[in-house]
Amino acid sequence: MLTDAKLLTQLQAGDDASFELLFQRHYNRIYHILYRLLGNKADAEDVAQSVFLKLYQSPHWVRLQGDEANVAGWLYRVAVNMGYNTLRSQKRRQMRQERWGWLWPFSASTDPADISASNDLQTGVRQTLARMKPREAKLLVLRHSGLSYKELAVILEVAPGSIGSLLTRAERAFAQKYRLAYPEQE
Amino acid sequence: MPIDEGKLRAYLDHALSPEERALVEQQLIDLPEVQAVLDKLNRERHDVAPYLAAIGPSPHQEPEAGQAWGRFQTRMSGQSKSTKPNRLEERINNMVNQPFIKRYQPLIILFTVVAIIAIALSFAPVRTMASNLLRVFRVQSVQVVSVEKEDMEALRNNPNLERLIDQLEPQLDVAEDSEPEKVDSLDEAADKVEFRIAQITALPAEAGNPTITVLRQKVVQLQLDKALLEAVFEAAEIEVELPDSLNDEPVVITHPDTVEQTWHREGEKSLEFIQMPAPSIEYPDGLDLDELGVASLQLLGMSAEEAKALGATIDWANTMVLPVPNNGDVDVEEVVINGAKGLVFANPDSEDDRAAVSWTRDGMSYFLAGKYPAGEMVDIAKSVQ
Repeated sequence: MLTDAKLLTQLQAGDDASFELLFQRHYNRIYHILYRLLGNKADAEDVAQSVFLKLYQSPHWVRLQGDEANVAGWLYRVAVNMGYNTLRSQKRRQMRQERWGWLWPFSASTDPADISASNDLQTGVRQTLARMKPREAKLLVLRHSGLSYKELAVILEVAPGSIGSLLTRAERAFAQKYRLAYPEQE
Repeated sequence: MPIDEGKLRAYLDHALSPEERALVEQQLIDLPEVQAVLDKLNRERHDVAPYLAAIGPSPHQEPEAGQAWGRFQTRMSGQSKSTKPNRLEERINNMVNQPFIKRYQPLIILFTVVAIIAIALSFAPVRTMASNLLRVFRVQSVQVVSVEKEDMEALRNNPNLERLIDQLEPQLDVAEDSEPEKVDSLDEAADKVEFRIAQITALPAEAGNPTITVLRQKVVQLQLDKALLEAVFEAAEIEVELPDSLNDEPVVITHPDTVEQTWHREGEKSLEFIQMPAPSIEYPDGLDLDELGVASLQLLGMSAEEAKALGATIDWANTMVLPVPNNGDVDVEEVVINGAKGLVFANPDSEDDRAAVSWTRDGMSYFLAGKYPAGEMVDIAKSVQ
C-alpha cells in the first residue's frame, strides 16, 4: 500500500489518481470531525469537500508547512480550522441577521442550516465546547473523532507525552462547564 | 514522587510505549494511591465520553465516501448537480450581493469588510514614498463603483479569490470578539470615547429615547500574501506589481471606538445612528497604489481605459472604493450632508420605507439607517450636530 507521503509526491507531480486514493483514505475521518463541529451532514459534507479541494489545488502547501510526510495531520488541521471558521461565519451571519434583518424586507436568510442539532443534549454539548478554550475544545472533538495521541500531537503542535494531561484537563473543564450550564440534563 | 496524571491517562488510552506501560504497572503495584488516581481518571473519562459521542453522526448521517467522491468530481468539472450553492459564490454573495447593505453596516463592520474588499479587490491607495515609515491611510470619502452581474461572475470564478478570502477571514475574527457596552446617556458614552459625540437634533416625533451602546476600539492585523494577491489579478489577466514588503509587514486596520444609538417604534427598531472617527489603515511602504487602485477597478469589471479614466479622478490618498452590485436591489445616490459628501442607500422595490445614509466629515464617519423615506433620512442626517 502506498504511503500518504508517496501519494502526495505523486499528486504534486499531477497524478489525480493519487488524489482519489488520499480522498477515499481520509474522507470519513474528516467528515466525522466536521460533523462533530458543525452538527449537520450537509455542512460537514460541504466543508469536507472544501478541505480536499484545498489539498487538490495546493498540494505543495503540505510540504511548505512542514508536514512533509503527514498528509493526515495537515488535513485534520485544515478541517478543524475550516470548521471553526464556518461556525464563526454562521454566527456572524446570524448576528447580522438579528441585528439588521429589521431594516430590509427582503431579509430572507441565505444562512446555512442551523449549526445546533435540535436535540437538547447535542446543543448543550456544542454550546459547552463553544465556551471552552479553543485548543481544549478542539482536542476533545478530535480525540472523540478517533484520532490517536500521536495524531493529536501533530495537529496541536505539542509533544505526544503531553496529550494525556491536556486531555484530562480538557475533559474536566468540559464536565465543569456542562454541569454549571445544564444541571438538569445530567 | 508526584503522580503523573497525564501518564496515567495515556495508560488508560493505551497510548504508552511498552516500556512506559511497564513502569506504570509497577507503580500501580507499589503505590495504592496511584490506583485510586487511575480509577478517578477512568471515571472522569467515562463520564464525559457519552456527551462527546452524542455529537457524532447517527447511523443515517454516516459519511459516504464513494458518493462524496462523485460529488467532488462533479464540482471539479464545474457541472455541479448539487442544490447547495457554490461555496465561493455563497461567500461572495454574503459579502457583497445579498443585500450588500447588511454586510456593510454598521460602520464597525462596514469598514472591516470594505477594507478587506478594498484591500483584496481594490487596495486602499497610497503614494509610494522612499521612506521606511509605514504609510497611513485614513478614510475620508467613499467612491462607489457599480459592478455588473457578469463581472461578479468573473470574480466568483477567480480561482485565487477564495484562497485569499480563506486567508483573510480568520484574521478578521479578532475584530468581532468583544461585547458592546450599554450606557445610560450620551454623557456617559462621552466619558468612554475620545471624540465629541454628535447628536441628531431633528428626530421624528415618535422617536423617544434611544438605547446607547459603546463599542471599543479594535485593531486588526492582516498578513497578506504577495504571491496570492498577484495570482488574484493574474487570473483576471490584469498586470500589477506588488512589493516584497507585503509578505513582511502586515496591514493594520484600526476600528476606533464607536457610539451607537437605537430608537424603537411600536416595539421594533425604527432608527439607528452610528458614529466613529474614520478608521485608518496602515500598510507597508513601497505599495504603488495609484497603479493598484486602477488594477482593482479593472478587477471589478472596468476596462483598462475606463479604470484609468476613473482612477485619475479619485483622490487615492483618502478614498475607499466601495463596489456596489448593479442588480437592482439597492439604489445608491450621492448626497451632501452639511457640506460633506455622502451616500444614500434605498431599496426601490421595498414595500415600506427604508433607507440609509452614510457620510464622513472632519475625520468622523456617520451612518444612519431607518424605516423612513430616503428624503426624511437625509433631513435627519442633516440635523446631526
